[in-house]
Amino acid sequence: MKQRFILLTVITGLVVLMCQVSVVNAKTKKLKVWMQTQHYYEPWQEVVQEFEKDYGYKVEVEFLGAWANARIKIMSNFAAGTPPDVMEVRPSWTAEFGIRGFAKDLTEEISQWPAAKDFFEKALEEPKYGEKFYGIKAFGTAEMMFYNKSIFRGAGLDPENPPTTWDETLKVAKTLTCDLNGDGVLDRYGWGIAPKKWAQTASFMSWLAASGTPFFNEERTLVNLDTQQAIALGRFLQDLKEVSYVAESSAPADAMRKRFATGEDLGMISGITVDVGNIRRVNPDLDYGISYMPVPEGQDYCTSLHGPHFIIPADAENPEAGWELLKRFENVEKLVEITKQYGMTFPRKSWAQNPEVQKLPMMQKLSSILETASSYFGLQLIKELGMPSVTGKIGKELIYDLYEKIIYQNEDPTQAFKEFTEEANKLIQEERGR
Amino acid sequence: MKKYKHKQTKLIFTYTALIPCLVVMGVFIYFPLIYGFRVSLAKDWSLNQFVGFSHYIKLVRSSEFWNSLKVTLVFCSAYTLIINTLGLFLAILVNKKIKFRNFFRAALFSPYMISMVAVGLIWQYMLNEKNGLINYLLKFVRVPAIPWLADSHIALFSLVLIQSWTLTGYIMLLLLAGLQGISKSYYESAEIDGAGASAKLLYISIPLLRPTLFLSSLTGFIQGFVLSFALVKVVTLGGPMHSTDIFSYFIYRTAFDYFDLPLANALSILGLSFLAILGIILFKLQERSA
Repeated sequence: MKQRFILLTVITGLVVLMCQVSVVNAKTKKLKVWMQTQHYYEPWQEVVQEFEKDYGYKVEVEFLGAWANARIKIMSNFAAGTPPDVMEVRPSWTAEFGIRGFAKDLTEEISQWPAAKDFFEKALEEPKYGEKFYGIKAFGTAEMMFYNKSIFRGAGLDPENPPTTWDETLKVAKTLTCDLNGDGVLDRYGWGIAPKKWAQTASFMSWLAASGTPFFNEERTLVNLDTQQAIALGRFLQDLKEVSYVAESSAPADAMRKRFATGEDLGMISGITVDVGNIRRVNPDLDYGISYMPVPEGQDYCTSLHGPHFIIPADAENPEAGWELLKRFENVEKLVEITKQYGMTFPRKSWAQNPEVQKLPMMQKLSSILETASSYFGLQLIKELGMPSVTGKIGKELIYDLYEKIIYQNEDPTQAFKEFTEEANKLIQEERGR
Repeated sequence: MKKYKHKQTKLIFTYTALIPCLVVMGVFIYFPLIYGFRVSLAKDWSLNQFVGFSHYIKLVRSSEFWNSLKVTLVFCSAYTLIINTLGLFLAILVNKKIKFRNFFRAALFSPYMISMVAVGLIWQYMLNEKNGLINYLLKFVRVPAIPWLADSHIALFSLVLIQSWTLTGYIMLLLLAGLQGISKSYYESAEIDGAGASAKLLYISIPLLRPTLFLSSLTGFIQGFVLSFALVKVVTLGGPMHSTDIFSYFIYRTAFDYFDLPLANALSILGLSFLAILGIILFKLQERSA
């Protein structure tokens, strides 16, 4: 009897304690933030701590993995109606989420935000669909050429004079590609051609931008990559392939950028601005330079703009608090700190003009490259045509196929780009007819 | 009367005990199935517009669907044949009284215990055309580098190889259990009649193992159809040129990359229907031959 009484008392006590804990938890306001692990920089961690003190929120930061896996989590939570309050997303997803009603319209907030005028115009406009803003550009990165100065010197080339046109790039790549020890196996390659995953989001997009090809027909209602400029790009890439290390089609997206950072055997690659910080951490002694993406003779420099957006989901529990946190993230002093520590770049005028940023190695060159960057093909597709399911398929799957045909299957670029354009437009017209 | 009451109590207890299981099956299997079918009849995921079977018709008319089905059937048939043949051979070997028999059994079974993602990553590196272990070893026998994952004619075979490596040990154990269930008197009688090893295999082991072989083939096939997603996602992403676009990966792309939930649900229903019909046909064949 006594034992039963003691047991009953203990169980009752535990139940009461659990109820107290639940009540306490329910009383604490929570702000859920989802972002990439590598983007949760120390200065932003300080911002979160200050925000918690000032607003009495508990900020729960959850990390998204690789974008392909993050998408599953994001889409599932949207479908279930349980999104976070602030989220980092890929640029093309912002327009898609705006169209699907998943992202909050931030037009009013941005119009009343003084810092909005500080963004580079292309970066400010990027998270817009139609006349509405659905996010802000978190980072400003662009695809550029990285080249190994030591390898250039070793091959008798001027390390301060990298190639700027496609013809020059081919000549330099041919010079650099060689068998150093005479064993019949190439030890050094002129260029490192990116795998499919990187091509779809970055390098192939930048080559397309650099080629000067239009992406659409004149009315901007259909895709058109069946152009002389695109075909010339295809031929150039097939020639470049002959003097390059070609990554396996299914290799990880950063395969070539990691290989370049070792400094062993790649003369040139295309990479993004954040690679400057990565190389500084991984191999600070690497003697390398950056330059514009090579372009056809007579063409202006052009590359593709990259970098995720921050959005506030339409079903967020605390949208006002989320917006406050975002504005604090965008404090220029914090952005400068991040650049100094991690090498990340931002699409802000005051950031670009900051003397501490200007002092950093390669920053001046980075800033001038950023100025030539514009939205990549996949993003322009959805912003121009809407239809997220179809434009998503064109921007990913059909681009994968196109890249595979040109780089891995050696198909005639004329045929490859023609087939791409026809298939893309067939999907668009089928969707319009639904 | 007492007997009747006891029987009634037993029945009530039995059905009550089944309730949690039925609830779980209802929530996680039957409700999603019915709801998924409902979604497949809508225009989009908001379920505002009913479009009937138009998604199913769209799929049946699309070359992508038939390519995926063809790739999946080839993949599942090929590796099912390999794992059952190899599994039977290994089961016969490890059934003999050899030294370190238990070690061999454990070693052959161990690939089955590794997560499919880890298996995919390891094999992706091993099959790398330039730096992979397999091509490095082939160099010693003067075989030129094979584009295991880069050639659209070879990539599917590479996935069959990986899947076979993973599952052979598991099938071996199933068949081993089946072999050990065969009475020794059959083999003794056959020996008296002068039967050799191959005769014993063909006329005793295989016929008596037929139910086990049938089960291992069917579960292996279904597993490939449904659970090979992780392998494709990690190793080939359905490429090159859709040559490894297995059904489960096709469903994943449609649902999460393109967020076309009605189409993805229609695909799932079609896949389930195909497997159900296949299962019924195979069970009928199995019953007739028994």
